Amino acid sequence: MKMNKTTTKLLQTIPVLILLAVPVVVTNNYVLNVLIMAGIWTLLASSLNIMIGLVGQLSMGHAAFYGIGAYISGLLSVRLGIPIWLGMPAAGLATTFLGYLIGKLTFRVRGSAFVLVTLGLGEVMRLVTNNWMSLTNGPLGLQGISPVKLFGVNFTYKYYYYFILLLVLLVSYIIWRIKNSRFGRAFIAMNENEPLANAVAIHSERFLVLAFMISTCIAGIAGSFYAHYVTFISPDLFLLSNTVTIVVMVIVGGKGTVLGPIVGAIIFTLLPEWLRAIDNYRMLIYGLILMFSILFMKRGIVPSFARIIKKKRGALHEYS
Amino acid sequence: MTVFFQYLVNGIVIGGTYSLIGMGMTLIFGIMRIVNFAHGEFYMLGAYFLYTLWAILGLNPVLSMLFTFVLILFLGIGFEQLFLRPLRKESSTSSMLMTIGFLIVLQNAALLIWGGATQTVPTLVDLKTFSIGDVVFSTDRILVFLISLTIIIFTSLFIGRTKTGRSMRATFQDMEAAEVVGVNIERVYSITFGFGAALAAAGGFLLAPLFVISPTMGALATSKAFAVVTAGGLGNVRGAILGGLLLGVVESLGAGYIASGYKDAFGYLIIILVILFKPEGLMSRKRKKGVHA
Repeated sequence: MKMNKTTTKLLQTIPVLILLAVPVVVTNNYVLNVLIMAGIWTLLASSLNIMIGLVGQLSMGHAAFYGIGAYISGLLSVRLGIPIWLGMPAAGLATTFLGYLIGKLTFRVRGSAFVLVTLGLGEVMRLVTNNWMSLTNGPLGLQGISPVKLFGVNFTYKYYYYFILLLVLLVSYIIWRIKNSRFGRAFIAMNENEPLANAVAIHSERFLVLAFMISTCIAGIAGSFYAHYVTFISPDLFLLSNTVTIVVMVIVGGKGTVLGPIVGAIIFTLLPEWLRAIDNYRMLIYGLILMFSILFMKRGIVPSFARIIKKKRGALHEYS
Repeated sequence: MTVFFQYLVNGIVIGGTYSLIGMGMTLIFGIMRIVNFAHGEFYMLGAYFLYTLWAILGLNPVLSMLFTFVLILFLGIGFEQLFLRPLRKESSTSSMLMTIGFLIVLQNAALLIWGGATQTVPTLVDLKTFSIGDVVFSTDRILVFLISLTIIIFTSLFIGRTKTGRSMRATFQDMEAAEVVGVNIERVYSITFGFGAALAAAGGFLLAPLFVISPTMGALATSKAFAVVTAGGLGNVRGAILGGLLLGVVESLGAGYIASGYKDAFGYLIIILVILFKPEGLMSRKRKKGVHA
């Protein structure tokens, strides 16, 4: 069965329409809250996917940029009364700059050095936010961050939902564009054969730094959203388990695909809600899922499914 | 000045165990080319196995330590064969992610088995103190240092003098050439991983009587191993020994003179500074690295 382009395009808009209609149908705040959290995790997983999936560098400090974004936005709000509309760009810019610095400094050595530095960043940030009482209120956390407000209207769950949906769609679009642009092809070329990529004038270090900047910027924005949504942040944001959760989402969902991290983020936001009864086993189960999906489903859920579908009918490669 | 020497002595004692943990990680990295994120979890298990065997079951402490060492050795070998061997053809990222998965599993399994509350392990010998000048020494810490030193020497001899050690060094220098001359690479990988894990466990059971133990103690140990290994040069065993002592002393002095709240941040400071200014490690004079014994 072959579909023409317009039908394919129309089919692609269906999920978006469904997502837009959700708050109309669902009025339960608990469900909306879970969906909003899934949106935040989607931003994080999608942005980490740029590193793991597109350029093939494992960043173990993604929660650090998320936390830094949250703290910048939160502190601006609590200390200076600055709303999210300025706080979010500030958080994004700051994490972009930090990504630039770290990328510039560590990509000279690459690989494990990058893993170590990014990992260290998270721990250092956790220690700093824990100990710098006068600024961050230490382990007690930062309270009273202003909720989002636009034209004098306080955001309800519904508005937060549309806000995060907008961000998710935007980020997914950006990543899709990157994948299909010169950058994306350069990333893939580098990932597959770096010396050859260098030989055809792809300046790999510059591309790596750029990829890292985009990735950290999105994480910072996600942090800013979280701070203003939950209105309370603490040094726990920097915990390694957060980074691990994001990594699990990317790997299990399918690294290198646009849809993979989204699917991963949704699964691993919903799963803990269902596993609440056996909450003690949750992380254990995560660990096992991670280990066995690396062993038996190396490419992740989305590419595996895409393959099956592709075999059945020709198209749909846009998804994978 | 007395205070300074006291910090120095304390730092060297703790540093000895950091050397052990770091040696384990540097061996694994040097030979298998992967960063072992579960390293701290083996350290944590070392502490809990000693706690269980000795403090709960009442086994002889020396035997408990030996048992622990051997058990973790086999745990490491088993994990390597079941979960890392199938990934040999994949990128190293897959292997690193696998160790991250194992980290989560071990940490949470420990949480379920032993509970989240911190536990204390009694000291290995009757606690006595004596002083040279004004610097105070305590018997338990000296014992810890002596055992660390013994294991370090034992490991060096193992790598330097035995046939297995020679295969390990050969694999490090050139895996393919080693394979050509008949070194069983798979066996070397398994033994390296198991032995590296057991060294981390040794660090754990030695430090357990000095501090409280908890299922989440591994994360900090992993970070310290990273610092030690980065400072010493990835894959450099002698560098790891010195790096461990260096980290112990830096932490002790830093906590004493600068701020104790940031004690655990000094390790990361070392990592970041070394990677920035001397990415091949503090020990290197030339760019080439090697497993020295």
